[in-house]
Amino acid sequence: MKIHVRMFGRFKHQFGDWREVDVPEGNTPLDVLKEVVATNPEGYMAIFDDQNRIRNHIILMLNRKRISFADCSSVILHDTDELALLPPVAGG
Amino acid sequence: MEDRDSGGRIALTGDDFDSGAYIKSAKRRTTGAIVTFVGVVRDDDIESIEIEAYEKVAQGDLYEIRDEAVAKYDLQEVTIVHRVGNLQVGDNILLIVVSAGHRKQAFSGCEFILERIKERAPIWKREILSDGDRWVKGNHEYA
Repeated sequence: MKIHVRMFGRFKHQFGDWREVDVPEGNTPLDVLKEVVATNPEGYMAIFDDQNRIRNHIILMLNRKRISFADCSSVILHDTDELALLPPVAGG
Repeated sequence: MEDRDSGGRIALTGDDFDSGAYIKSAKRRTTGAIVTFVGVVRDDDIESIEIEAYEKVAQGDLYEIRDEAVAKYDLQEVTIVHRVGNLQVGDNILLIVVSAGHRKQAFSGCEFILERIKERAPIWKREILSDGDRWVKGNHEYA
């Protein structure tokens, strides 16, 4: 299945605006994130800490809704889902 | 992206705004106070600033923030205009205009909206320098 991954803020400059990731059925957002950073060690460190946990300040959205880190490893993705990776917001 | 149905305006836009027009339109017969906040690009040794947003989500968040503020502080009219794109020093970034029956509601409502935007709306700023650029640190970010 194909998952549309969007990046914002500094992540856009690090990974590109978006990419389509082809992953097996049953994959979770966490699986997709690991796929995105698989060939980018610097990018891995930007998203995961040294315990391989998603860094606390990162915001994840699935189909434009915020998801928790717990959901990240338990929600099952579906074909054409949109996963977004957001750095801490700084508007206003 | 914008909405004018509520009387006020909720928008993410590249265009500048006329705060005076929104202040005027916020007034009702029962209005006792109008509070306005205008965020401006400050010269922190920058050449310009680039503001980007996850626009559909940010737009939805601005609606939710407006609705929360109206319910919490009994506001009458609310306008929120957040600019995106490349802005120069001195340019307007954000306009918040709220009207209410009394000043405390208007002040509190305006501050609530500003703080909620800063903590929630997916908007980012990148400062363009003479020798590169830097992302403005998030409000809930730590090293």
